[in-house]
Amino acid sequence: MSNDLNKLFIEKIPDQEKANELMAKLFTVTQPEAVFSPPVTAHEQTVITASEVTAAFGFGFGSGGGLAPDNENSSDTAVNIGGGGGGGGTAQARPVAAIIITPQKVRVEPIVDVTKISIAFFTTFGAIISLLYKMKRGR
Amino acid sequence: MSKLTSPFLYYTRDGRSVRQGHRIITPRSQVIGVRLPFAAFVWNRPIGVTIVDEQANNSHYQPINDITRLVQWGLYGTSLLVLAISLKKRST
Repeated sequence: MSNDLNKLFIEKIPDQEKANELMAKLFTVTQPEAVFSPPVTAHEQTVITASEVTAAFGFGFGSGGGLAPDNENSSDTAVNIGGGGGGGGTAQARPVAAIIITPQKVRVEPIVDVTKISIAFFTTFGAIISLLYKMKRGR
Repeated sequence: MSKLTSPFLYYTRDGRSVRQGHRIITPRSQVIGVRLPFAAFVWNRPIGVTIVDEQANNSHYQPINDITRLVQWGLYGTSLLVLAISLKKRST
């Protein structure tokens, strides 16, 4: 991923204009360069890594104000105005495949994320066991 | 191709071509996204490579399959199927 995107989440968002600038930076992930690494060549073999990139970003601003008497006996009124904003985002990249180019052929080798699959497997397994147990108890 | 001004993004893009001998390899990615005034989401994934063989004068497309995502969705689908079957059994 580009340095611009990595910078995105450590910058301050002082105003709406800055937030819009950051939003525009987020769209650097739409470039193919964010997905495909520069080719690396060694011993007549060229390898390009293909990764999946996901980025999300959101922000909000708000302000309000009101008139209130300084104290109960006074006829003077004080103007109170306040405002604030916040934002957050996430970006992640996961290698999906390696494109290996040899003088003979081009092949796409999938890169399997064992951790993600294990988490999905145990979540599914746990949910099914829990469901079957509850069903058995319910009878 | 969607423009960046549109709230929804859905298009494919070709990456930089690599020449190796008599072959030209061009990777292709797909962008799916939503752009709202105060939020944005972008998902960019590789979908395949186009291989042009200048010597043989032909070209072919090789898809990139995301095995991790396929297995993940397969497992989630299985759990939903089990849930649906068990609910049906319960109601009968």
